[in-house]
Amino acid sequence: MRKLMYAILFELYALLLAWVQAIGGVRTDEAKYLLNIPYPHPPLARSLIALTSRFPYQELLWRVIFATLVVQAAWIVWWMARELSRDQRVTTMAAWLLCAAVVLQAGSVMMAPLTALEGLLFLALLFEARRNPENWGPWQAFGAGLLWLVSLLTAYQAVLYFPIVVALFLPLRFPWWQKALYVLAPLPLALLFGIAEPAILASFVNAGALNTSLTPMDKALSLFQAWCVGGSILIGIVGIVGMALDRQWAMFLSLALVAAFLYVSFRMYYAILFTPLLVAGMVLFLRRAWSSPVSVLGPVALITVLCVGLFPPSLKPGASRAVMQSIALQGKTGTVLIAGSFGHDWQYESSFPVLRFHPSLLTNAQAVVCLDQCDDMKKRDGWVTLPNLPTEVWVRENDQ
Amino acid sequence: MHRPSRVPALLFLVLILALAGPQAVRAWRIRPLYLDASVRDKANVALQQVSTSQGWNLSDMEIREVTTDGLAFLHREHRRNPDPPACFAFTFATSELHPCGS
Repeated sequence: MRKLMYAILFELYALLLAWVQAIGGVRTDEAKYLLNIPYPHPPLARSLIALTSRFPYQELLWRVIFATLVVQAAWIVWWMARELSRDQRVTTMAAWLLCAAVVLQAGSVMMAPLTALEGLLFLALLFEARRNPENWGPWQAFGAGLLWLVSLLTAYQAVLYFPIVVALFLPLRFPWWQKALYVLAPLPLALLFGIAEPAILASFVNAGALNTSLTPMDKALSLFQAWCVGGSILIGIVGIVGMALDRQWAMFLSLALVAAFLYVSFRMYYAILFTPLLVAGMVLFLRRAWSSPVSVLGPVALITVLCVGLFPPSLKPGASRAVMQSIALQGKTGTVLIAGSFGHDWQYESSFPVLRFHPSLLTNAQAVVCLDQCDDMKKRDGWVTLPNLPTEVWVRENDQ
Repeated sequence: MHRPSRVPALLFLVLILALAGPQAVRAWRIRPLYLDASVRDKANVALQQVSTSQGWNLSDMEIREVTTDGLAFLHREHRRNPDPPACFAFTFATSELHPCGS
């Protein structure tokens, strides 16, 4: 009964996090998944998300689902820490829930929180495999292999947890070819998905070149910030000490892979990829040393508040929603042309086909959105601007 | 005695192969993109040209087949309303864009 009450409280927390993310509207990366745009990840998760594209509150639905998955994953932490005392288990569970990366990312429709959740599952299975390797039957190994396959077909970043997956299968008492099959076979398959869709490979090249203009110091600083957010500093320190005390080299290797990835292609939303490793390290730490819940959770909560202050979620919707709603209110038909570079959120918010601006396409257009200068429009007859919008928008004049 | 324990692993292998099959076919159909630099350059120019003339985002075009003569791709508007893909072919020599099969 008490657990049910906690689960309900967690769900309310998940709804709050989803609502906070919803305030800022759909970001371009989120729109990419909501619209099943074929890069940068394999199609598994985005295809499922796209099945709900006709649902009027598609974005909100997935915010709630993702937030629920990430928040209720606290029960996985609870399970991982089952050798600890009740207070210690509550501490680790709360550490997951209060960690800045979870607070900042749980309600976003992104692949990073899902990947982190999969990482947490691998770590829970690793703990279980180390504890009772003889309990693993062939179907349990199949399940772990399937989770690895699903993870790689959801987002390529899952490969950062490869050392955990290797460490998970190593102690199992199975023929070597079965272990190799479960661990290695999904890798070339994921690569094949990338080769079959050139946009995925192109986006890899772009991601690899993302930080090339930054100095090594800037990159290191960004990485440090991500580590701070990923473990609210204290979980980060305790987690690394826990890994070292327990000599969990696979976890260290995975941590190094996540760090290397962030160093090359930094985005703050990847900070959550650190979180499962650091929380699992904290569980290992608490097996050997004990601090009171208040001494751990107090600073974690305080640092999370600071992190949220420093890297706040967007609480102001982008221009795309307001502009597209105003265009829809005109009651016209035809394409919407956008001058300048635009994100996928413009496609998501539009009821009409969205095209890149080119003068030859004006014939079938009902509106032109000017994210770049479009002085040319002032010289054209039959077009008027829409007032009070965050960006310059031209629509066809009403026939009178 | 060991036979039952092989079933899940063999099932996993079948699953991997079943997923790999269609992707291998797709990759095979676009292999000139990876094997022939001149075709890759032509395809790049072609897609940019189509993107400019039609107003389509590059990410709205999924390449399905590439030959030395041209390429075929699926175009999707990527919006929330029903969004069926349309197949187009582009000929390098004439820079012509036309629906597949026409």
